[in-house]
Amino acid sequence: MAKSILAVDDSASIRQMVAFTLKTAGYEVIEAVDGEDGLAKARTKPVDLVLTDQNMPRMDGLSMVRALRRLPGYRTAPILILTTESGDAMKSEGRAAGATGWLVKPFDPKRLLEVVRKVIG
Amino acid sequence: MRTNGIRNDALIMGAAWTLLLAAPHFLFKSAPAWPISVLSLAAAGMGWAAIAAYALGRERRVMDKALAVAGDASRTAIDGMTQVLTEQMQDACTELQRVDDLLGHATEQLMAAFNSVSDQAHQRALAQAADAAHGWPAAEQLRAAADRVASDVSDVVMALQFRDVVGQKLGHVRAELVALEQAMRRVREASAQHVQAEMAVRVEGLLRQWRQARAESPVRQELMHAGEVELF
Repeated sequence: MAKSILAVDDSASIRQMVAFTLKTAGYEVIEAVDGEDGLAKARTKPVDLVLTDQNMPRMDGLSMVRALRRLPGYRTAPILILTTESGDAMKSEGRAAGATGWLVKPFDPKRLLEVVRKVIG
Repeated sequence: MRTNGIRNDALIMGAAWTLLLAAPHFLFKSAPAWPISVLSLAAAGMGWAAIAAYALGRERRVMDKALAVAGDASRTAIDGMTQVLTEQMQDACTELQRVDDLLGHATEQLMAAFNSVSDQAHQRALAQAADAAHGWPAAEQLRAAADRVASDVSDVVMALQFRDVVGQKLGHVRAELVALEQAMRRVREASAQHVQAEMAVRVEGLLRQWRQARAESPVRQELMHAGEVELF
């Protein structure tokens, strides 16, 4: 059975690129438009990996990560941040919130697949 | 100029008063008794003092009026300047929104073309896999061609992310312009409410608040090269 990935980003073009890259590699992709949508979908259908943007309306990525870490099924699930932000302060905040990794946009599809395979196979 | 005119008037009035007091002495051509001379001099002195006090009072009223006019003029100038700057910033925000809309439209068109090309590439890859299963001679060459297409598609995927990166930069610039427009509006309100002496303090305070509220743009990318990856 294909591994499932929740892709959270308020940018339709990024969601499309992420979905295209991951689906081509055989993963199932569920899309969400912001942190609140992502949290709701994660509760509804558990996924193997969460890939989220940081700067989003309603609920940002790190807030969603903290909320996910409080859910029983997501305490140790891999959560990657995919964002335009590259500052050390933000990365430290991401690590403290419970993120598994930090990817800076624009992402290289080959590199993204390497990281995804590394964390969920 | 106005104060010179007041002083000239005062001098003329003083001279006239002095002549008025001295006239009887010349007309009657007799030396007055010393009490009368003393009284005349005292009257002349008091007259000059009164004229001087009147002239100074008039000068002060003229200066106060000039200061009030200058204050109104500077408030009007500040008001005019901030209004022009506010309008220009609003125009700049509108233009940035247009750029954002154009980018969105261009991205939609690119995405549609990309989806079409990637579907075709996927169909060809499936056909090539079927050919390879049959052991047909051209399969290896076609597989190499498919790898090249996959690499090109990967480059396109990276390039198409420009919409998100540029959109965030535009959003940051718009937010900065809006914050500047609000600061200008507060300067105009302050100039209408406070006298000139307090204006400098108010403007300095507003500028300090604006500088503290400014945030660095989260988007530092200058080119569309792949971003770094870090696993914690």
